[in-house]
Amino acid sequence: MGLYVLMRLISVVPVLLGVSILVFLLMHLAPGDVTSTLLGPMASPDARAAIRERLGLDLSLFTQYWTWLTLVLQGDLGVSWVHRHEVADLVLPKFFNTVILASAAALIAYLVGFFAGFVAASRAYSLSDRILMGVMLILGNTPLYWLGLILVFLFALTWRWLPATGMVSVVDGGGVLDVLRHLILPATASALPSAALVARVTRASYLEILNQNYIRAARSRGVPRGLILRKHALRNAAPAILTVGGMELGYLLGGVVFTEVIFAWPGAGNQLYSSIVGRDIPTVQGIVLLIALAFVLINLIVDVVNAYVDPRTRTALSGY
Amino acid sequence: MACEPNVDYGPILRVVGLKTYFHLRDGTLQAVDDVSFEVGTGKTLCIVGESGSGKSVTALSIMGLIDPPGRIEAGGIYHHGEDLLELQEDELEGRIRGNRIGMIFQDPMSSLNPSFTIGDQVAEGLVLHRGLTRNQARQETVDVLRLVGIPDAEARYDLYPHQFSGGMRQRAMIAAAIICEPDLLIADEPTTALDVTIQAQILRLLAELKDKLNSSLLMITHDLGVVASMADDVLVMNAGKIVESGTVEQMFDSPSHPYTQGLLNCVIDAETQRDGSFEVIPGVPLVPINPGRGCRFKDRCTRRFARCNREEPVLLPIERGHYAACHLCDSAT
Amino acid sequence: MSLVAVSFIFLVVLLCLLAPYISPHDPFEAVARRNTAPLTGNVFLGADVDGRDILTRLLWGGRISLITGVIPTVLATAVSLLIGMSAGYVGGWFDQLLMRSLDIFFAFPLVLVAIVVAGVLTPGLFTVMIAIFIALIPYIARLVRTTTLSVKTQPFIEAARASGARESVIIFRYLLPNTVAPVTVYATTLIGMMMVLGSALSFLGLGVQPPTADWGLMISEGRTVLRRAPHATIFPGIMIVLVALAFGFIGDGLRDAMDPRLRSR
Repeated sequence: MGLYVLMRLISVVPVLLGVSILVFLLMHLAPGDVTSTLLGPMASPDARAAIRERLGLDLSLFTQYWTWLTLVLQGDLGVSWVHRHEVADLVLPKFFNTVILASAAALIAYLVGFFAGFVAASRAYSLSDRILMGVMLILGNTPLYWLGLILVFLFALTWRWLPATGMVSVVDGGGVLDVLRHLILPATASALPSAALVARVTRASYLEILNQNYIRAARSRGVPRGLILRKHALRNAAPAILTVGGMELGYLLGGVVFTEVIFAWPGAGNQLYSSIVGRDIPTVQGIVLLIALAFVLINLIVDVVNAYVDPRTRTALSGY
Repeated sequence: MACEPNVDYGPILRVVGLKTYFHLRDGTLQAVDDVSFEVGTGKTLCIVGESGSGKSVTALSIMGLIDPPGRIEAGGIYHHGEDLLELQEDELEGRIRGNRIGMIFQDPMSSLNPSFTIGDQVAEGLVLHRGLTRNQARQETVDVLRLVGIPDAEARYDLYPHQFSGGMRQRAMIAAAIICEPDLLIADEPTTALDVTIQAQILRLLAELKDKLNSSLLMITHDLGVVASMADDVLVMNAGKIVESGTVEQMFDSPSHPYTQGLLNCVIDAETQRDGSFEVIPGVPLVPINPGRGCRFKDRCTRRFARCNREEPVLLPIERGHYAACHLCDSAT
Repeated sequence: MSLVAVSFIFLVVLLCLLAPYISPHDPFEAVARRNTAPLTGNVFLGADVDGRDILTRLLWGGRISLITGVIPTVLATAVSLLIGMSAGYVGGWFDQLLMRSLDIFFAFPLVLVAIVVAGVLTPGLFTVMIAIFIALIPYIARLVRTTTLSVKTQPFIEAARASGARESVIIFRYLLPNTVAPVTVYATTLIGMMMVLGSALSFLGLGVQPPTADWGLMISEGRTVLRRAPHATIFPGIMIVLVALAFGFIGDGLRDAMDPRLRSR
């Protein structure tokens, strides 16, 4: 088990290296001259040359990458072109807000999705199963941003139960209750499409497991149906559900861009959007790097948890 | 005491007119169609037949493990005189399954849950039916594991199925089935998936356990060698129907139904003819989806005549305790 | 169900193709008062914030949405077949190199890749397609490779090789058809999802630009008058959901048709 975790950790290194190369290249992939973005089209050639030298754009690509990477590894993500701030100082608090939103969304997605899938599987092919899965199918094909707007229209504009926007900072201000009130709509909007997928996978893996011989054998020993669902089948269905859950958490991290924009949530996704529009490449790089790091980390955790849940890998690898 | 109140010399299991049908898109599969038999107390009954003859469905019907689209349409299954078909699902779970009737399945590789330890699964009966905690059940479970011939049982209690060989897994399955000392043991082809050398060991173990626990055995098999070594009584099934039943001697000495004769010929030929020219039963087994009129064996029977197409034969006595469903055996013909 | 879905898609494609002839109004002209409600005057589904007919714009916008769903997915499938099959067939270090490079893309959520690619390029229909195309390749290529690997070890390939079939025959007669089938199923389900993604990019302003009629863009424009004219947001969203659902059903239907073992799941 320990060895497996170690191997999995090592396998992450080349991926992260590749990620850093891609993120670095973002700066050079963008069409147009960087200096025009920074100084405007009317800048003098001298000023352009000066700024190129300051940014090190005259050096070889490899030297630039190496310099950039060493700085990034020390936590220095450069300076924002728009805000004249350290990118790290700008992005990290916003990323924290995103983590709050994504975690709330993930929690809703897993609870709703697992419960719906579980209920559907335990009443498979009944009317309630068909209705439940039909609703999930529609939710799964609904654009996140549109769902967000519909929720705003219903809950904020028509019924005025919940605020649509107005979250300025999670840390200062109204306290936990205020944060929760502002969190409900964006978290639900982000969560529902993911919940749909979790529900489908939960139902499908449950039905597959319930057809296995060992489930019939357990029933022949007198294990009640409820216990089969809650204990016997759950442990076998868990890996598939966990894997999709992990993937969905990554999807949530990408999808929050839309919810954050719609609900004006002060997170990294919203910042990414305005930085893309403002051509603030260092900030874009910083946010993309953070999201990728989080994504890789989530997948790592899911793999390790799965390996731990499955006794075949757990016992096989403890032997070394 | 002069007489023991619990001794009951009647049959431990009596199945009457059992019909288990599967309602499929292409029609109704009459997997078990009007089947009646008894398992005598302390006896071993073997149900013989090819795949698809309905023998496994019969076993699952007794356990109450028929899932949709399957349904028990009619009949009675009397265990100690109590009709199991009248019981609610929770009564079956709580009192019968794993407690009074234990079942062993064909494939030990897929019949143990890979995510739970062997001990967990074997001890389950004690936890469910005796209300013991896992810790309380442990010692008794280890004893039973030892009883079924698992060496080093104390240590193996905490291992997972994938760490067991096929033979050891089948022993564990047997342990799980007998842990509550059921009075009826159902074994559905318990040796089919095993190596030949292991098969004999498992059969011997089953016979020993049956005697030790004073229970009865219902064994499903397609292997006539198994029948010869284990059975007191034999039931031959084809396409959802019983075609012949009797004691093991009657069956081997004077098989009456052409199908039984064919089965026996296959074995005898395989043992005597070295040139590979075995006699086989021609054709493939009938799948009883909306079966037409007449005998269900007629298309494969070499001795059929006009009446076989018209009329379905019923089980009729040939001698005391020996029945066959064939117009050839009907003295009225 | 998939038959209904096919007919629905066919109908939508037909109506969108015929948009210039059957749409009641010009998609760019104001024909009613701003934010006119549905079923009033000459606008059946109402008018948008600029007084343009929503029904007309839905018909015209469907063209863009279908294009952003279909074209990048088809192209990405073609390229992925090339990458995945050569990786799976050649194997060895070549396979390792290709697949490890694709692994890097899996470190980013698909949506993020599309947003960033679309963001650094100049906004437009072409950009949307490029962004989706790039974001999709790793996913399809990985499926192609696994399928190729499993087909490659099937007995019928060995039988063909043993009977002296040339490599080109093995690749094109045996490997390709057996790989294309499952990939087609996957790609069909992707079309709906990619249409949703394309509309999302336009919604953010990174894709198709106004005044073009596009379902995502229509939602983005409707958003500014969500309280007064919710129909401007609701109708294009319903169209996206319906078309995406239909492609999902077609994918399921294709999968069932190709693999009877999966039926009834």
